[in-house]
Amino acid sequence: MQSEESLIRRAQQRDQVALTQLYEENFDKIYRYICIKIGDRTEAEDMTQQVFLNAIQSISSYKSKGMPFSSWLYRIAHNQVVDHLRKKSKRITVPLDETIPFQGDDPRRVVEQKLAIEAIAAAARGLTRAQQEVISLRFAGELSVAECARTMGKSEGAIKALQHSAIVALRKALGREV
Amino acid sequence: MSKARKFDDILNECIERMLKREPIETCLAAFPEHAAELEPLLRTAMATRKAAEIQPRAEFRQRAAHEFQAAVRNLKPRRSSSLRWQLRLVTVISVVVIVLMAGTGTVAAATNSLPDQPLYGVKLFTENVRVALTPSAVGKAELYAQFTDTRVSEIIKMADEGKVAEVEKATERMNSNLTAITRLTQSAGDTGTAGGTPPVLSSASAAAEAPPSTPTTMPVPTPTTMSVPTPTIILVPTPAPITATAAAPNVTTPQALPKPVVPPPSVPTPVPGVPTQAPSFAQKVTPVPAPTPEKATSVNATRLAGTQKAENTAKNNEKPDLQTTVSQQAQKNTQDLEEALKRVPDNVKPSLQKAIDVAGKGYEEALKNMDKKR
Repeated sequence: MQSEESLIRRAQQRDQVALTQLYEENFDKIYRYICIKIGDRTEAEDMTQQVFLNAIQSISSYKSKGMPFSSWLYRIAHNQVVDHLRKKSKRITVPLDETIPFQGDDPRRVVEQKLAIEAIAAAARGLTRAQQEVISLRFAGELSVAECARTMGKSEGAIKALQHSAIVALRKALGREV
Repeated sequence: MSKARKFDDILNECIERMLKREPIETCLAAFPEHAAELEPLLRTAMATRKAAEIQPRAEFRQRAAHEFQAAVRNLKPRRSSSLRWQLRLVTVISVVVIVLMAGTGTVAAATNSLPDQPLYGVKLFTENVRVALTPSAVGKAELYAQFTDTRVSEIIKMADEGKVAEVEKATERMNSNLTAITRLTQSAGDTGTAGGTPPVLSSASAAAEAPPSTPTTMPVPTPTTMSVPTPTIILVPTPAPITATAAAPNVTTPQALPKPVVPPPSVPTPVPGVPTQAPSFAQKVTPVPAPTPEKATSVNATRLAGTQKAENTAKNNEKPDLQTTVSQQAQKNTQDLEEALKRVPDNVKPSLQKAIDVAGKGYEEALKNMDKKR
């Protein structure tokens, strides 16, 4: 955390190296977070880019308050997602399979993963906003329960309960396929 | 801890392990009593985790990185925090200094402004502020006495320039100041018979008025120089001597005014043992060697007492009190106004004569109250 604080201080002085390092460390996580929430790869790309452009414009006003830097980025991303969804006023059903990484050359494995992701993406649409947020932060953002709690403004107990109920709901929606 | 809460904790611990790439079986083995319930949930969690392992396309990653670097390059390097604070401090201090200088300069410039000048409002406002900031009634009365002096100077300057309207406005303000002095000296002494006549009355009513021992209730105007209650002023053709037994001159309309006859000022030579009297007032006042409240049935005695007190104060080298100050001002201002009356254009003379009457009556009332207070 100390090194991150130092990095952030340098970034706040508009040190290009520090800014680039923060970008590299968080880019994939923010992309995944947005992608899972909106379900559209192209829009997720544009929004991810915009999150970082907004971040470098306002990083001078960033205050740690004991939270990881990524929490701040997730908040920016969350606000963008909310705006995006409000504008669209409908849920997106864009397939996520195009974004599936090709892990090796095993076509069977690729297909399996594609099917799994499609199923989970569809099931996630039936979750509450809070459940979706917990799933996004925990599994895409890789935040701990404590970090999720601070980011969402809830207690750790509440996050654990939300996590539990979200997984139960996902399983029900998946119809025991997983 | 409730059962559900406990299970939430166990599930979370297993998810943490799973996120660290531990196999599900290890978690199940760690919690055999919950294994049946945990297993389907952990498999769902694992599937979700895999679904979330989405990687951005290489093409997009490259484009995004390029645009981010371009945006970073366009950022201007920030100054250090301490330097920013120093700059902010310097900016704030500069602004404060500029505002103070501008404010002080404006007030200073307004001090000498005249009623027909733009900064005159600032001058009046400053006076009001000074009064508001003065806690004691005597202090306020002293300020009003000072402002009355200022009004008299303004009246004379405006009269010299032939500005009738400005003379009349300044006269109203002077009347307001004098009224305030009277009111404040009453409140300071507060005899329970607060009263007195308005500072300015028509000659007829002034003549018909009872002796000063039976004062009438005086309306107390707001002590402001911005809005002044218009006094009832009826011009008199000649500056009739104001004495307790003065006959009431006929009330005339301003249109019918003959040219005022002003007696030449006479400057008395101070004689030891004889109270010093201002020319105009002296002409109106019947000398009373030893004025007493009983004998001084008019303001003459009051003025005389003030004059004598002024002498005594001077002899004793003391700071003059309010009564002395007002008495001296009354003499000087009346004299100045009457001298001005001789030289101003004819069209201004009625207004200036009105100012003289207002000043005379206003000072009378103020001094009378001060004397009663004693």
